[in-house]
Amino acid sequence: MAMFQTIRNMACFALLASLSACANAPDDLAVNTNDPYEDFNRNMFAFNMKVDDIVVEPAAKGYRNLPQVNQDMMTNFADWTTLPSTSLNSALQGDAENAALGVLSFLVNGLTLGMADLTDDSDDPVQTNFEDTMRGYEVPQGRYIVLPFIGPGSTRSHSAWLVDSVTNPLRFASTPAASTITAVSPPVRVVSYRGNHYDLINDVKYGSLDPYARTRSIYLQYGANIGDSDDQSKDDPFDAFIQSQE
Amino acid sequence: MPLSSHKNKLWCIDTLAYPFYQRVMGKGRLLIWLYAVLLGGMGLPASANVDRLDEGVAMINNLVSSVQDIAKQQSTSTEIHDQTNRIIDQFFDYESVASFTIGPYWRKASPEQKQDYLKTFREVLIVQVANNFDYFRTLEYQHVNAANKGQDWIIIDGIIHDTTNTYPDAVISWRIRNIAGEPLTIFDLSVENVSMLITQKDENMAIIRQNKGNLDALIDLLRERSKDLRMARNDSGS
Repeated sequence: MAMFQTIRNMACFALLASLSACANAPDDLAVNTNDPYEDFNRNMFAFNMKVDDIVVEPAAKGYRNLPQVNQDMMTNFADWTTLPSTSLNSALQGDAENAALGVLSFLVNGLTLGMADLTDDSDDPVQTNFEDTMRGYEVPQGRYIVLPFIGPGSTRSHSAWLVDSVTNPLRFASTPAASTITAVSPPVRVVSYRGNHYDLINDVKYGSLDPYARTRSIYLQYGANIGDSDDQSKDDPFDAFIQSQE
Repeated sequence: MPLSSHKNKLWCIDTLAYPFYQRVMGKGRLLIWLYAVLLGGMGLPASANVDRLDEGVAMINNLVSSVQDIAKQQSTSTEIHDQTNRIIDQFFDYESVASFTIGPYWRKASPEQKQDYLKTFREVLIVQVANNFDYFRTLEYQHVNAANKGQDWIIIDGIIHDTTNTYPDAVISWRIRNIAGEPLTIFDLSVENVSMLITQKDENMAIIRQNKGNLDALIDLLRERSKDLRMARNDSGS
């Protein structure tokens, strides 16, 4: 499960995108049907890579040099700030138990601003967001698209991200503490995530012949495996391969 | 009722109903025959399928222990290179795997391009695997399940556990090609449902597309990559 999160988040935050503009081959093999905005996406990916080079990766390196207890505090804080959204979306998905666990966990761990995990592991809510809610209501995934700073995603995931940002209950609390938490949490989340998955992300970033294509493939395979594929009737590529050999 | 009467009645029924009786009995025999065929056609292969599943599980366990044996030895990079090469030949249908990774461009390639691609792709694969043997030392594999997928594939699921707890447990699935009468061969490995082979194919095809369908561009990049990986290995002193 953690690896699932890793893959999804990797596709969402981490890699940052593109190389040069894509040349269009003149044959029918030129177009990737999952990625009609490939030229734009590759440019955005390149921009995000630069941001990663200059800001995110060095910050993540610094994070990894912190004592483990400090890293855990940052990760816990980042997770804690998402709990109000988890509760809200669990309620929208009809999962009252997870919504209640989210509220409980938020209140209990709020005693330390979320930096210590005071609840039992079995009481931790399953993290969820507005994209899960939309998926539950069978909203199609839409097109693959890479946005500056946000990273790879789909039209649905980016819309959901926007909704989650706007509807986070912390935004509506008018205390200075809540404003500070709201302002601080996104960079903490990005840095702790990048630091916690440093090797994995660097493997894609530096170890691929085409990091953009590799990230897209992982993102789309992950989506297809949780039922996001817009074309469910699509043949199993392995069976198609066998048939092509016969 | 006297017995003879019964007999007569039965005889009458038999006589009157003979055509019907014949058809039913005929169908009965047909059903028994079909059943026998099904037993022969399904029962035996069912047991054969179980054997193939067991064979697949044994093959994966054998592969894992081979890799762990290599990882535990203090081998030189040349030895690791040779041993990895042997593992590829022993467990994988390398040519099919390699041709899958460039999709429809395989058919378009000239015989020379195919040979070049097979050689360079293997080289990158070996150096990548060889460079990661340190990581394999701390991994444990646990078999979970084996099942047929269609008539051509066996899927074997397992869990990889990192004994140093640096990485979380990962669910992996081996896709094994199952051709009747031929030895099983590994075709793909998925980690948390993300196929390594499809990822490689998507990346390779993107590169070929970027170069207007020119497979040589990918081969050149693979050569560069192989060189870089070898240098990285030498730099790390392994």
